[in-house]
Amino acid sequence: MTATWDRVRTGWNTFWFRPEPTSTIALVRIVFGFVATLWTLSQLPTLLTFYGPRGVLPVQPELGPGAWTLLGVSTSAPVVISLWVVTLLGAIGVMIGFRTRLATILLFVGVLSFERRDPYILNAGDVLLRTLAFYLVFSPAGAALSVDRWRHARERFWEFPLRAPWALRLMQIQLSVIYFATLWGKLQGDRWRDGTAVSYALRIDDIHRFATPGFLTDSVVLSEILTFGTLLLELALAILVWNRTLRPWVLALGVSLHLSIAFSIMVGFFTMLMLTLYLAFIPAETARRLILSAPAARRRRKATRRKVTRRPPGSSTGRPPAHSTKSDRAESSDVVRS
Amino acid sequence: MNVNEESTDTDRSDNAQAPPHRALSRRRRIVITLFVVVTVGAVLVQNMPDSVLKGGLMAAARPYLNLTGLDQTWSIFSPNPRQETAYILARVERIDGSVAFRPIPTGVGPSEYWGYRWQKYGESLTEPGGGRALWRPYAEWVVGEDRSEGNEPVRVTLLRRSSTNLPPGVQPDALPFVDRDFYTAPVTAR
Repeated sequence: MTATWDRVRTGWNTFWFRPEPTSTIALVRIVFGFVATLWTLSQLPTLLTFYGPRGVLPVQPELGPGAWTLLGVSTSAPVVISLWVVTLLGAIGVMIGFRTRLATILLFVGVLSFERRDPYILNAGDVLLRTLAFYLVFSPAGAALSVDRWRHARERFWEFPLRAPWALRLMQIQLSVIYFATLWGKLQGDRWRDGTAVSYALRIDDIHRFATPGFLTDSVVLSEILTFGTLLLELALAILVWNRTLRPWVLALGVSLHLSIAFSIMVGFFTMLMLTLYLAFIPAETARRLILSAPAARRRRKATRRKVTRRPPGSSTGRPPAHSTKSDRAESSDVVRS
Repeated sequence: MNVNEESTDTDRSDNAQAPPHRALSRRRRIVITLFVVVTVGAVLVQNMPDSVLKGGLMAAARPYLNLTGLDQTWSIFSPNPRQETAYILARVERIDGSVAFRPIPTGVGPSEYWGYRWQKYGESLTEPGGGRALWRPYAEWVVGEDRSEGNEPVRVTLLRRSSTNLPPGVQPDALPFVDRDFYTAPVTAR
């Protein structure tokens, strides 16, 4: 019994807390910040129409227990615009990793406030944006490849400090939950069970960029293959993504599924955010190699090395560091060398 | 688990050359463990099949999910994809006798990245039960838009123009479009 308990405890600690290089979460942060910036910019043309006092929803709808929004206090145009600016700054801050913790909090609060203000305009992409923003708040998102890193440890910019990956694990679990939930929902529907669902989905003209070719929607056999194939792939994504060997294959199939959806159907930011979530499954070492193999990264690493070698002996930076804290010094051995 | 044990974990990791790392304190691990158990638990409860058990557990989970913004449903084309193409339009009758149709402003290209919100709004307008509260504010907004273009509307009607799609292999593959008015109101003078 004790041995079993020890195994469970060790497994738990390994899964949630065994430190990993922060290359994966840095990649997630940059791409997520970019998508969040686009999302926030896309609010501008309809900002006051959906959230303002003279728009299509002048009165704040009733909120459920525990729900909140900063726009519950006031929906006046200056307040809405101010919150939009703060959200945009938060999104850019997340993307570049500037005061990252604060930026993630601002982004989360902004996204949540807008989405609670008008819940009638949300699709799955908006919900995923909010969810990922929440998880990112708790992650060491600014530990690597960030302005924060540049300011605090410039000479070690291309290194990836080790951190406990528990927030990244929450994102990974979220991916499985999404596919399990959507699969279960689909299995409740007659059209998914009789194999015609994809044919119907491809003929909802009001959400399509262009009319789907007839041979795709008229063929019963093709429709059944696509419908049952989708169910099978969603099941595989929910489960097999946890298998290291099969992970690249199921994720590649998932990428093709989402890109084919995005090619023909207007799904807003859903595809971008799902693919961002996929990044959470890139092993830290692979992410590190990917980042460091980028031409720009190679050039800058060489430049940084040259600067370091020119410094006088006994000097780590050639000038007093902007932030010489205990934690910075301790971190020098807590990194994966590039 | 103490710090020494954790260092051993690292040595066993894929990244065996990595130097020792700073460990999270036991207290922080316990706090984080509580947080992830509550968070994952609440998310799983919300996504479990509808049941009496879920109903009971959601009473406890809902406030936490709402507070953290983790409330979520993933009903993407489920339980069934919509079996019709549908557009929402506003029919605006003006004092000069002219009639204008103002569709929900969706678009293709860059505008689809805000147009999708209009598309979802259009779906919300005609959702059974929930959409009714949106009709009047939307009609008033349409009237305001029409007035801003120098017109004098006297009546506004919201209608849904839809065409039912037929099963694959059947010709034609959809029925003709049908208009259904779902809200109408006279426009009072400003």
